Amino acid sequence: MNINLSGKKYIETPEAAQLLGVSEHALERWIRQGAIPYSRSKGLIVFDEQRLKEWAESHNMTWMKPLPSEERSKPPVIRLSNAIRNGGVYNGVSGNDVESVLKSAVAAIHFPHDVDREELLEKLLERESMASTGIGHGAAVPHPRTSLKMHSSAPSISVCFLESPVPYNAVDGEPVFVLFLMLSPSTKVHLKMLARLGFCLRDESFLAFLRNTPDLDSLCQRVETMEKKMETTHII
Amino acid sequence: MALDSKFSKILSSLSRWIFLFKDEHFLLILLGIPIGICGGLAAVALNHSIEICSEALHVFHGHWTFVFFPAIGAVLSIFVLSVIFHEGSGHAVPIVIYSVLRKGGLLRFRSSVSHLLGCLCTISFGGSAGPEAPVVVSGSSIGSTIARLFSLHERQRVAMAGCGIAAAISAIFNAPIAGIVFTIEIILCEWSTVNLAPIALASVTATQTSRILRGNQIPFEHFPFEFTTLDVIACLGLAVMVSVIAVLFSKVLAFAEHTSSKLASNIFVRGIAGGICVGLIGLFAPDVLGEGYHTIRAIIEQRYAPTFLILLLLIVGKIAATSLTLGTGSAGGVFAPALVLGSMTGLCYWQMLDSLWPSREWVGGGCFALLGMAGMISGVLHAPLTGIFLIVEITGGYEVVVPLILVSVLAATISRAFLPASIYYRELMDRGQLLRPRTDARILADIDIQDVIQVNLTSIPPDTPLRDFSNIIQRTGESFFPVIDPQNGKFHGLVFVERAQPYLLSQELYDAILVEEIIEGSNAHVSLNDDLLSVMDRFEHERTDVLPVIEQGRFLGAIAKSDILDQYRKELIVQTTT
Amino acid sequence: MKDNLLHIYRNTPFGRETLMQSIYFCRMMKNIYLSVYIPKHTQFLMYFESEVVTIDLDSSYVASPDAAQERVAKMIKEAGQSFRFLEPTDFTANTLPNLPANMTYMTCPRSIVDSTSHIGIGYIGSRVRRIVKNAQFPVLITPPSYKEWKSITVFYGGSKLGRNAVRTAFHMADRTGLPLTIFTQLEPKFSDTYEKNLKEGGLLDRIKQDNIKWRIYDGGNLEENLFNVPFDSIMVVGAAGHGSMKELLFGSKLETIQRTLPNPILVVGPHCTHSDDYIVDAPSTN
Repeated sequence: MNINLSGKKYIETPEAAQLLGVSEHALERWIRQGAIPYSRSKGLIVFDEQRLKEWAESHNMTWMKPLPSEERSKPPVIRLSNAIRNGGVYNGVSGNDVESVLKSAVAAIHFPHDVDREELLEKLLERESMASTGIGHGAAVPHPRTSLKMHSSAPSISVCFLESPVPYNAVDGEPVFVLFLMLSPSTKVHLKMLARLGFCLRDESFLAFLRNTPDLDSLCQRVETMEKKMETTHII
Repeated sequence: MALDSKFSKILSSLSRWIFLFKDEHFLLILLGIPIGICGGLAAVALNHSIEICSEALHVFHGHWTFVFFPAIGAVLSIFVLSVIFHEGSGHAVPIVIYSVLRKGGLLRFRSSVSHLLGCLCTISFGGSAGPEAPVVVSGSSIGSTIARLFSLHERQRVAMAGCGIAAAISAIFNAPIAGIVFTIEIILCEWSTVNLAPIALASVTATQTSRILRGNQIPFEHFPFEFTTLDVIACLGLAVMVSVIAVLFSKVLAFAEHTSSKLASNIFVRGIAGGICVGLIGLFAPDVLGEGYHTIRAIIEQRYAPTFLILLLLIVGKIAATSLTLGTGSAGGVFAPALVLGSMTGLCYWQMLDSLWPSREWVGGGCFALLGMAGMISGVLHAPLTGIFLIVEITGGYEVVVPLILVSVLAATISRAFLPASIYYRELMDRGQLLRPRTDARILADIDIQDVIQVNLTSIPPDTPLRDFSNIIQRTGESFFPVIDPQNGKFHGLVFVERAQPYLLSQELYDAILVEEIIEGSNAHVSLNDDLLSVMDRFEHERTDVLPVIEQGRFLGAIAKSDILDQYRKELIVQTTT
Repeated sequence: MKDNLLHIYRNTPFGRETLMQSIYFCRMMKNIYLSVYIPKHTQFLMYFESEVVTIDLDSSYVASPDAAQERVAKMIKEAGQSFRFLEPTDFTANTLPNLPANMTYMTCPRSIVDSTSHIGIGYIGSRVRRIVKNAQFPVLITPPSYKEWKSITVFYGGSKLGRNAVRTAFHMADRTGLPLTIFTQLEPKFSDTYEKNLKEGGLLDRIKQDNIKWRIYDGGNLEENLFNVPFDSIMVVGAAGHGSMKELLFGSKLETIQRTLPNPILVVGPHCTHSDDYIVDAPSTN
C-alpha cells in the first residue's frame, strides 16, 4: 500500500532548526520528548515541512523562511556607480532658487514611466522645506522623505549640473552647483548610498573633477575606482 | 480472485486496528493493563516472600542471636544492591522521581528486581523499612521497559512509569485511588488528562490482580466509628503532635544518612554497624522491627495497648531503627515506617486524652491511630491527598473523612513550615534537581548553553587602534566584540560599542586609544558546564546583557540575555502545550 | 564548537595512548571540541534516547584524579587542541553521575574495563557494544597503541543501514581533506541493490562527481581482502542492529573487521542520526 506522497516536502534537522529559530540541540530534545511531529526515513530524522509549519503556527512559534543561500552569505552590494548609471547625468539644469531648480531637474530627468513627477516634486520640496539637503562643497542630495512607489527596486541617482550655482541654504552656505537626486527602494539602501556619496564628496580632487561637469561614463568610472578603494579598505 | 478480495478485506480491517494502535491515547491506555498486572504481581510477590521469610526466621525472635539478624539483612541487602545490581543505595523513590522529572521516565530494567530483592533481605531479617518504595521502583521500571519496547517518546514513557507506580501502591494497599493520587501528587507533580487514563487503568488492573491472588481483604480491619464535634476538635491536637513526630523522623533520617557516610566509607561496615544497632533496639522492642504491618493491625483493632510512656519509647525506637536501617544503605522505603509511627502516635494521643479527661467517652484509639497514619503520611511526604485517600480506602468508609482532612492538611502545612522538602524530595533538592514540570527552574534547566551561544563573532586583536575599531563597527554592524590576542589565543575581554561611544564620538582620540584600554573591567564568564540558572544569576550580578563563554582559557563564544529569553519562550510553549 | 568528542580518561599508559588517539582525531577533523571526563566514581550512566547504559570502570580510572587532570591538561595543551573537562552536574544517585549523551563522537578503547589479556584486537567489551548500539553518535574504537591515519576507508556491505557509514565517511573526508576509499565485499543478498541503496541516499552522485575510489570485491574471503586496506587508514564501519535477541553482537562483517584490522575503527551504530549536507529524498512508503 504505497501512498503517494508527492507534494510533501521533507526537511532534515538542521533546516528545521533554522526554520524554527532554535538550535539543533534543542530540536533534538523536543524530538526525544515527543513534543514535535517528525518521522524517520532511512535512519534519518525528517520533518514534513507542511506539518511542521502547522505545528509552529499552532504553538505561536516563529517560522523563518531561510534566505536563499547567496543572499544569506552576502548582502547585495549597493554601488553608487550603478545607481548613477540608472539615474543619468544632466547638464545645464536651469533655475535661480531651490524650487525652480528642482522643478526643472524633475522635468529634465528621464524617469521610469511609473514615476509620478508631480508627486515627486512635491515630496522633494516638502523635504527641502524641513531642512536643506545641501551637504556642503556645492553639492545637494534632494530626495523624498519616504521612498516612492516604484516598480524598479534598483536605486537611482540622477546627477544634475546646474546652469549657474544657486543659493541652497547648504550647511556651509556655499551655493550649489550639482544635485544628486536620489530615489531608493528602502531607507537602508538610501543610507548606504548617502554614506558612500558623502565619502566621495569629502575628496577635494573629486570635487574639482565635478566642477568640470564630466559626462556619464567618466563620472561613473571615477566613482567606481573610489568605491573599489572603499570596499578594499572596508570603510563603508 | 475471491481469495484475493477476502485477503484485502482482512488487511483493511487489520489496518483499521493498526490505526487504533497508532492513536497515542489508545495505545497508552492499552499498555496500562500489562503494567498494572506486572506491578500487582511484584507487590504480591514481595509481600508473600516477606511473610514466608519472616515466618521462617520467627523462631529466632527473642533469642539473643537475633541481635545480629538485622546486620545480616543489611549486608545481604547492600550486597544485592551494590555488588550484584550496581544500584545507588538507600531509599529508592528519589531515583524514580529524578528519572520522571529529568530523564523522561527512563529507568534501568535491573531496577525492577534489584530493589525488591534488596528489600526482601532487609525486612525479613528484621530491618525497619517499608516494602512500598521497592515495589514502586519495580513497577516504574517495568513501565519504563514496556514503553521502551514500544519505542514511545519521553512524555508517553513518563505516563508508563507512572502506571507502574500507581499499580504498585494500589496493589499493596488494595486501594486504587490512593495509587493514582500518590503517583500524581508525589511523583509526576502534574495533573494531565493524557496521563490520567492509563494510570487509572493500571491502578485498577493492579488492584484486581492482587484481589484475585490475595482475596479482597482490607489490609487493616477496624470498627465503625461515631465522631462527635468534640472528637473533631481534639483532632487539632493530634495534627500538631503528628507533625512534631513527622519533622523529627525526617530530620533524624537525614542526619543518619549524612553522618553514616562520613563515619565509614565502606558501605558494608556501615550496614553492619547500623544493623547491630537495630538489633539491639529490637531486643528490647521487637515491635519496631520489620515493616510493621502487624503492629498497625494490632493497634487499630485495639488488641495492643501499651502504656503512654512505652508508646513514646516505641516511637523513638521506631524512628531510630528506621533511620539506622535506611540511613546505612539498606534497601527499603519510608512509607510503612511512617504508617507505623502514625498509628503509634495516634494511639499515644488517644491515651493522653483518655487520662486527661477520663470521664469522657472518646472515640476509639483505633480511630485515632488511623487519623495519625494519614497525618504522618501527609507530614512526612508532604502529600495530604495521598494520606486522605489511603485511609478512606483502607477503612472502606467515609465516616472519618472530616477529621481525616483536618489532620492531613494541618500536618502537611505544619511540617512544611519546618521542612522545606519532604523525605523524597530532599536529596533531589540538595542536588538542585527537583525541577517540577512547567516551572521556571525546569525550563532553564532544559536550555543548554549550546542552545544560545553565539559563535560567529568578529574577534579583534587587543592592539587595534580606535580608528580601525570604528571601521570594524561600521563594517560588521555588531554591538560587541571579543578581544583576542591572535598570537596566543588569549581572551582579553569584551568591548561593547554602546559603552565605547564616548571615545568613538571624539575623533581626536582615534589614534590615541587602543581597544584593550576600553575593555570592560569585569572578568565574569560562563563555561559550558554551567546551568542556565546560575548563568542568569551572573547576568543579574554583573548587570550586563552579554557574557563570554570561556573554557580552559579559550574564548568559545558569547551568550546574550535576549537569546535566552527567545529560547525560554519557545521552551515554555513546548512544555506547556501537549 | 558544535562538534564534541567525549573521552573517558583512564589514568594508565594505555589510557594515554587512547587520549592521544582522541587528540589526533580532533586535530584531523578540525574544530572538534574535546570533552574529557576524568571519573571520580567507578560507575557512570549515559541516558540514551531509549536506554540507560551503565558503565562500570575499574579502579585505574579513578586513581589520583588530580594528577590525571594535570597530565591531561598538559598533553592536550601541548597539542594545541581546544578542550574542556566534563564535570557531571547530573546524578541519578549520589554515586552515579550521568554523562551527557548528546555528543558528536566518543572514543572507546576496545574494552572499557579490561584485563590485559583483552586489550588486543578481536575483542570488544560488552559496555562498548552497548554504547555503540544505543548512541546517536559514531564511536571511535581505538587500537591499543597510538596510530596515525592518512586516509579514510569506509566499509559498505550494500545494506541501507550501511549507507549511514558512507555518509559519515563523506563528512569526514570533507572535514579532513583526506582521500576516501569505499570498500565493498559483495554479499549475495545485496548484489543487485548495493548501488541502488547508495543512489537512494543521494550518495552515488557524489561518488561519481568526486571520482571516489570504490573497490568492489565479489568473492574471496573478507579477511584476505582486508589486506588491501592501507595500514594507515581509519576504517568507518556501520553496525547494524540485530534486534534485541543479539543485543550484544554486531553484524558478522564488523566482527570480522574488528578482529582482523588493527586500525582505528569508527563504528556508526544503528541509532546514529548523523545529519549533514546530503539531501535525502522523501520517504517512499507508509
